[in-house]
Amino acid sequence: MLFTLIIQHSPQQSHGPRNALQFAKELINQNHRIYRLFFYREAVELASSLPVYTSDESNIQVEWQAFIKEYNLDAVVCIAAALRRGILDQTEANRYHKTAHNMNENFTLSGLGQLVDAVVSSDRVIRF
Amino acid sequence: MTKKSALILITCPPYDGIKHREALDTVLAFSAFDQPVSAVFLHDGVFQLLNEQKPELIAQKNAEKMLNSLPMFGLDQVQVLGSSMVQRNILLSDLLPIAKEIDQAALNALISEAFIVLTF
Repeated sequence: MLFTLIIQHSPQQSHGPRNALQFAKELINQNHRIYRLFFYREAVELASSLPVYTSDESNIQVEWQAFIKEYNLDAVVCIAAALRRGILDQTEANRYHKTAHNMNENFTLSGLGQLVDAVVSSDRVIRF
Repeated sequence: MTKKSALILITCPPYDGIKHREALDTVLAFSAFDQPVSAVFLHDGVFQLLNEQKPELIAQKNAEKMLNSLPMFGLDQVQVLGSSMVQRNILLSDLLPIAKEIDQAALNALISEAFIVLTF
């Protein structure tokens, strides 16, 4: 089956991102396909390349990024949610004359239309 | 485009950060792309529908305007859960005209019918 996962919370506030990653890995193990990952609200921070984790903590950020890269997944970050939380790619940083950009290259900024498209195109939509 | 119905459950009050705005943005997105969408306000979400809001006093953007613009996007009505209103001593006449009261049974039916339920 074709799945879309919606992730809404940051790893500091919720177990959701960890749960979502374990679920996504199991989907692949069971030969399902992932149509899209949609990061909304506080979950946009998972797309940042800046967070620093201590050595005795699992780095959910790096794990998500590696997973997305390994399976070449469509990881969409809601642009409105990202901008107001300071997650910017190079294009947006230039557009708004910001001194830096921080978005990991495995993600794409886009609008809520991608969420609607994902819902329409998927067999199952699971939110975390 | 095939149609898959979305149900957005809104449980958060307005003006505690921007959760209420991001909830409404999601409702509008489904509407704008011509997908069937229903919005049900319950628990503290009923506060979002109170009329005569003056959020400029706390430097917040007025949610009323966005809610009143829903009919332009094809959503003539939003539902509000009656029991949540009663618990908060709110009458239907305290709410914006687009609010329509529903009971738990109607909410359960909406939940079963929807392809996806998103909760804010």
